Amino acid sequence: MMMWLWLHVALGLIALVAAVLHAGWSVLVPRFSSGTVLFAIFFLLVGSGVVWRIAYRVIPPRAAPKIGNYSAAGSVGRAELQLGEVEKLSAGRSPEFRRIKDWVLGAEPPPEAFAQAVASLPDPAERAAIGEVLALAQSRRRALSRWVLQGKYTRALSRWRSLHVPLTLLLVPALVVHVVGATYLPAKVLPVGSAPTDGLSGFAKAQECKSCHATAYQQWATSMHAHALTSPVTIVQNNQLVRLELGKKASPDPQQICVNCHAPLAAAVTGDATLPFSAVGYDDDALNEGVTCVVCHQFTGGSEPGSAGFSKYRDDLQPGPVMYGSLGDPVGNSFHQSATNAIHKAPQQMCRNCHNVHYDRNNDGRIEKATDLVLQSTDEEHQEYVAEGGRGTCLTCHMPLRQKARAAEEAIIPLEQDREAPARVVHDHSFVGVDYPLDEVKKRDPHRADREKLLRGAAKLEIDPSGVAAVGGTVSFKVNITNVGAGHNLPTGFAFARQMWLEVVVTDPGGVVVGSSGKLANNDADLCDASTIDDAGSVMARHIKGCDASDPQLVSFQAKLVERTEPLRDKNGALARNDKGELITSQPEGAEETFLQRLDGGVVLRERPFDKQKMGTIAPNDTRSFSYRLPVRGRPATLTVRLMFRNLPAYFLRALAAGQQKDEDPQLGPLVPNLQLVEMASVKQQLFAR
Amino acid sequence: MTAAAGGHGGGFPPGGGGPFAPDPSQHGGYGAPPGYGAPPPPPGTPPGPPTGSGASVRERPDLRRRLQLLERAAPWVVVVVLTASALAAVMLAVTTGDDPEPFRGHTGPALLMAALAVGTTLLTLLYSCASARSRRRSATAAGR
Repeated sequence: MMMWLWLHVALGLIALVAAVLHAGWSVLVPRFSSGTVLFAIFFLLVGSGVVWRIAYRVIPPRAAPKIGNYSAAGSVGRAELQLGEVEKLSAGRSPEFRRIKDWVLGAEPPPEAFAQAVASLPDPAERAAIGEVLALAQSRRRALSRWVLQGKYTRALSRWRSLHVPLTLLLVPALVVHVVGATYLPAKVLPVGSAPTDGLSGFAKAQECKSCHATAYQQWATSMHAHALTSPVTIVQNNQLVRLELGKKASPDPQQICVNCHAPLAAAVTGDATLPFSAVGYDDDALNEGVTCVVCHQFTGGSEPGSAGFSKYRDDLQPGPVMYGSLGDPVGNSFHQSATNAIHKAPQQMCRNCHNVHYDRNNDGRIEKATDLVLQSTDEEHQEYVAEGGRGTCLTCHMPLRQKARAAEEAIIPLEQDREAPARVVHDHSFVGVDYPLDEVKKRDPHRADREKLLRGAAKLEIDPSGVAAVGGTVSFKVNITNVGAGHNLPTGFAFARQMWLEVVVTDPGGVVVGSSGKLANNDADLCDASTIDDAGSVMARHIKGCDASDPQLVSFQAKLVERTEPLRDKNGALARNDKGELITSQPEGAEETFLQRLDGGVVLRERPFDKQKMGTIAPNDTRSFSYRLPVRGRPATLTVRLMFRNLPAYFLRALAAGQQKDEDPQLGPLVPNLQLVEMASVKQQLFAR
Repeated sequence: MTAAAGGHGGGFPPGGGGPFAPDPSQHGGYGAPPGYGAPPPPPGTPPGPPTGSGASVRERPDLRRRLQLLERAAPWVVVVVLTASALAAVMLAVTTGDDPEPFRGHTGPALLMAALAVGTTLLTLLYSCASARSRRRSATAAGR
């Protein structure tokens, strides 16, 4: 049996070593997890076994001289026996004898005092008997003190057993919990959202990433990806659309078409379409993180333009411990495993899943403009740019290289990260574009400089060198705009909600404006766009501010969102196509401009009344020219042309605000003055210099 | 003489019997410890001859059983040290070098270590189960 005992001890110790080598550096991380709990149990189990064994080698040799054996009953029995003997010897003796007997039973008498007491007994027989009583009383005391020591040593020996055995019983369930937890079994087996495990049903919250990836987290936290669900415009527009139309559609597709892109994970977890998200068992802040870290870094699917509006994208989010990125030589860490896959080696392929927005209205398995709903075609525009030799990717402008540093710069080596990682090519995670959180921008706007830099590098503006002609009291000239810096059209995205326009001003020698187009009355006033103002019965016209009449020469590249569309037909009734062979979307009679992306609606181009020119967005490297004729007075006059940008039209927000209930939060109306104007380019020319 | 043959008869601490019983080889055999097992001589009794010397003292028989090699601790300590060193060397080789694996639980070698830990733990549990059953049988046989 001893051999088996030692085998048991040796196997336990080897198991502990193997457990340490299994956990690696993670065993040192003071973090609550099933692994650390299991290891603590195992360590205590092995430790208690070893100490138990040591106790059995150390205590018995020390105890043996003092107690002989561990039979407490034996010691007590012996003490009782001695007492009986004493009582027998005392029977029929003198009172003095009995007094001495009681005395020696109670305590060990000093020898001199005992001798005097014995001498005081008159009967020699009693004097002889009292000596026996003393010997029996001393023996009884030894038996009783041995009984106390027996208890003490017994407790010392059995203490470790009382720890070792329960820990053994605890080990098995702890092991099961660890294996199940470490493999994310519930999250992988159960449908997303059915169990609030690990924050977001097997996915990590962005807050958890922060502790190591502090820089990336801070960049993301101030980005529009982080505000994808909390942006007031998104909340108001989405909820109105759900109320009016999407809520009545099939779930999840297309009912969640908006929130699927704005927060694919939270949309899957909640199964809801109304914002803000909330679900029992989940942290609401985590649910409303928007396009959070795992939306990209746990995506294992492929590249399919526009797919993220539907449940397919989120079905390819893989719960578990693996985070995907572009690095081929990730450094191990205690929080997650690292891997790369095809789409993360070319991450721009992922952007297209969201940054094309369409809906297969006739369900024929393909997207065709004018027939299906096409709201955004940024990826398609980028593909055309690449086809013409463009080399930039989405990352070039929107995730530029910022530094060479550790990707997890805050991780502690080796507790949280195995070793010092090589200097990495770290991309910015601010995802700077043209948007900003309208409710926060007055208080903080960390990306304003980058945003404006991006816009100012996008286009080139010039007054056509063919010259400026004065005819009577007017001046005629042509303005050229070239998309020189964007890998997609200008503007892109939801182009019906982007205002890029030309502000043209002629001033007299005294600086007084004598002629203009595209000049706003004030910062939150609107463009006097004829296609809105003069659109008979348009609900949007009611929300235009700062215009007495339409501006027939206005050049605005803002597309027009209308509640219904139809393919354009030529005068023979045949379907018209553009130079790319695509059907052309047109606004049918009676269809109004709108601020909601209705599934039956669509986007059409605006027409400039001045020359009937269609004002579509400008493709990369394309130049568009626009003629003007403005009044002029005095010489010299000054012509100033500015290309202006505003990420959202003020009348659009007012229209959305008008559809809100009074107690709805947030209210968009008060946020309109927060809109920012950006001058993308400008050119000034003196006319008729003396 | 209250101590039964073996020195601990009927007096094991709770659960301390069986393999965890004090090792007789470690504390001088099962003879009666000095000063125990017999009542002290009555006062005035002349002292006896000195113990441990002289032909008049009967030598105690050596009751200690000679332990087999694998019943001693030392060989098992060697086994544990050698095995642990070998395992550590394997992990060191895997987690360093030109293309190091993370020294974390999810890698292949670490998962092998986990399997080894679980396997050896189950073996120790088997021993515990067998030991507990053996103690129950002993208790039944002793009428307890």
